[in-house]
Amino acid sequence: MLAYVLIRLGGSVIVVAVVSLIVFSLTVISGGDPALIFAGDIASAADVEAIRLRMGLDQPFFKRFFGWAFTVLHGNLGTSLFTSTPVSSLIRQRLEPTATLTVATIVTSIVVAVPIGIMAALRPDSWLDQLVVASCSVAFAVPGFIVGYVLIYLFSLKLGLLPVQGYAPLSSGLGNTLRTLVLPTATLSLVYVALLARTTRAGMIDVLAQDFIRTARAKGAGTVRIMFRHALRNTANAILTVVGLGIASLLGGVVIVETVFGLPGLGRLTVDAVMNRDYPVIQALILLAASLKIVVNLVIDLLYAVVDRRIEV
Amino acid sequence: MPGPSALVGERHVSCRQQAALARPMAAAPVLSVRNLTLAIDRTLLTPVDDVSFDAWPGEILAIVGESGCGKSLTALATMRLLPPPIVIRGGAIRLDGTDLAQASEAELRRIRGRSMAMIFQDPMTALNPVVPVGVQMREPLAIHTSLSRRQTRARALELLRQVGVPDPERRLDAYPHQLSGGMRQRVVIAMMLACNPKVLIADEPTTALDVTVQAQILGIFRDIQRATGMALVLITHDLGVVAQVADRVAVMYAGRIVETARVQDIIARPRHPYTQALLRCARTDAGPVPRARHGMLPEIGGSVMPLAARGAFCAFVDRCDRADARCQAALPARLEAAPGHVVECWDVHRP
Amino acid sequence: MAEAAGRARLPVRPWLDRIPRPRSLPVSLAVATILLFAVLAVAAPLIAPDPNLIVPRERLQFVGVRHWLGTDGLGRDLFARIAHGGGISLTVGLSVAVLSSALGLLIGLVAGYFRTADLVIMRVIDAIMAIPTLLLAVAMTMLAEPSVLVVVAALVVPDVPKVVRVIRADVLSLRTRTYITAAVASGTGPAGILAVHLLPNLLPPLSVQTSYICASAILQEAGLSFIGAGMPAETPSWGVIVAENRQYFVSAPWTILFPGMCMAALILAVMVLGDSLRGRYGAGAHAGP
Repeated sequence: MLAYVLIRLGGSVIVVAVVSLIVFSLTVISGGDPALIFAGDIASAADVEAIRLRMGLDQPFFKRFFGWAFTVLHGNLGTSLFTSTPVSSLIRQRLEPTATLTVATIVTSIVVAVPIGIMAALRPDSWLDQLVVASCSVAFAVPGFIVGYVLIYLFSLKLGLLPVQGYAPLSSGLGNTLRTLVLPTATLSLVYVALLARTTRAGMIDVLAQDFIRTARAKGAGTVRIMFRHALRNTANAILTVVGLGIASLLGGVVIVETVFGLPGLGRLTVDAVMNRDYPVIQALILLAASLKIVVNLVIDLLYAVVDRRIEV
Repeated sequence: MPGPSALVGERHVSCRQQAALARPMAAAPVLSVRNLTLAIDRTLLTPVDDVSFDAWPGEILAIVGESGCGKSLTALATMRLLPPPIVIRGGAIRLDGTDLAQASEAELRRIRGRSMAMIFQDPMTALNPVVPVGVQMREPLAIHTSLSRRQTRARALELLRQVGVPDPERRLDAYPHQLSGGMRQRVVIAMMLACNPKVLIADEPTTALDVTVQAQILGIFRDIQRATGMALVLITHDLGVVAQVADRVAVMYAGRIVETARVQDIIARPRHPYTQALLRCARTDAGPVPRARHGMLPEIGGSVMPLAARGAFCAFVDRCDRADARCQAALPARLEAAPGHVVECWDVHRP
Repeated sequence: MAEAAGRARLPVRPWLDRIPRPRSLPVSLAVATILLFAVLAVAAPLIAPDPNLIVPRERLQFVGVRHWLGTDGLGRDLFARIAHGGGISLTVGLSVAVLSSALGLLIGLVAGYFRTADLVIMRVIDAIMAIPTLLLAVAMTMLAEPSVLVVVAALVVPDVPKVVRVIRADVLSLRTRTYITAAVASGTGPAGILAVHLLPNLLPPLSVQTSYICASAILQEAGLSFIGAGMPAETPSWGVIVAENRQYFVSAPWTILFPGMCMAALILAVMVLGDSLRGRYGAGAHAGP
């Protein structure tokens, strides 16, 4: 088990390193003066020079890269060009809405998609099954912002059930937060649910055709027992994979959804940074997003080994 | 002594005869299949046509036939585990009086694994790969009894010992991929016997295994039977297996049972042309392989008549060297050529 | 030869016969939809009013005779803008699809053939795939002035890895096929093997990927333009149209819904094409053992 974990960890570290290299290269290409960026507006010329020396900007590319990496690992993600505040504090301020939205979306998606996928798999080619398959295809095609606006129109404007925009922080009570998260989560989950439902369905259909399911039936097992003790355990693998794959697109969708619903999170931060050409912010966000995805995939890899004992560790 | 008795050692036969005499005769068969017809749904194709057989307690009935004759489907049908689009189009499957062909899914679930059990052909895929073997073995007990965890674990260990699995405690926590094919099949057998079923249907249980393991598995079947008086229906294409363990044989061809008899009778005096041809092919006398024409191995020319071509006539007609107009005109009637020896062939009707 | 094979007719224009014909309703509809948008984009300058003409008097009108799809907040004709936007979407989608397929094919071949290159390439691929597409595209469009070229380039980079993975996996498995060994043993050079054996086996799965990338690119471009990191603000890209009319969402929802429906229709059409290709070729269908 230990060897398996170490190998996956090592692989992840390498990927993070390459991501940072890419991000750093983008910095260089973007042409901004990194020393100035890190020093901020209020630094004096001497300070900037000192930082330049410290960062080794007169050094060849890779030395600069390591210098930059070192700085980042110490928690300094640079300074926003627009607001002159450290990027890390900007991120910290905007973290909560995005975090709650993401968690809510993942949980909702799994809870909604897996039963749908199971029901469709149990009745292949029925009208329910065909409806599920068709709905999934459509869900992939409709852009997130359209879904968002339609939902707002229906639920906020016409029915007046939910707030149009805005976010109530957790400090104001979980209920309030959830109310403001309902529509954004629904919008963001649409694609995720479609992805997960389709995978669950396909995986289930595969598993249900296997011999050991027949063995279980020959023992007198009913549908419920077969589902939970036999079928799901063998589909969990495929479902986990898709959860990991979907994280990247989820993070992309967060940007759109936060814009539509006016949530003051990292997605909106991205949009603001684009408007203001605030490069350090974008870089930091890329690093963050990539690291998150890598961590999630690492966790999923570990879960694989737990669920499927055939993986020789 | 020449002849098919080379398949069955003389001593062996007399041992079994003695054992049969010693066993009390049961009053009725525990499983009685009558006129079972299976069809592909929404078509007129019947891969299994008008099949009847009985399984008596303490007895091994072998159903023999080549690939595609419908024997596996017959086995699956008795447990109502037919894969769609195969359906039961007629007949009865009586287990201790209850007709399983008419039973509801709830009733069937009570019977499966408890009164009736089945072992499948491929031990490599019969077990759930992500669940420990012990859990799977205890599952029939968990479903059908209210025994505690400790009790089911004890029973599982006992069963593993009965089927000859060494170091049973360790095996209980193992996963299927950690066991060899022969070991897995023993586990499956033990698993299916957990609730002491009255009848066990074994569909080609040794086909996927080495010959040495095969002998061991067959030995396990005999031992279990001797101990519990269970009825065993053994589906196979291997005449050697039949000769070794079966008490009675039903020969199946193209979806119909063409000959049923006690194994000694069928080997000594096969009456259906197909059975005769099979035995000719299977014979290996104590000496070298018998030489037929041109020094080649004996074979049955042609191939099995496809489903769509079958009809109300003998399906063996295109390969039979004694076929005549009657065989093409109508399905042969069943005839009891000797006590306990039933044949479906027009040629046998001839005086 | 032809007589010996018993063929009665000589093939006329064989390439026409090899275009796969749609066999089902969804596929026919999909093709029709795509053609519709293409035709509209080309014909727009002829049949529709100027998409950039600002007529404040006629702002926020609903569907009518003069403005078939209504007008936006500045009185610009929505039909014209949407028609042009369709052209932009198709252009971007096709360009991204073709470019990333070509690049992906090349890189995938290299990765499949050369072990050391493979190690390096795959780490870079993994890294690019770790970054959400939108973020990466945003980062790249910010490097230069917005234009079609920049958007296309920015969307090609995140999509190339998908193609590389598929091609590489296929090349790795194809390399061990017996007919490749036979070809090498009979002296066929790498170029020959590539052209005669590999490419025909790689093109079907590649075409499947290409169509999906096209759909994804259209979607991504809309998203990019929506948040202001895509097409320049004057171009009537569908994403830009939606962004411009966000404020009128309550009073004039059609300004957002019409471009939205068009997006959904076009993307769905391309995806249906991709599904039908996948059904026809099978995921990873290859000739021979």
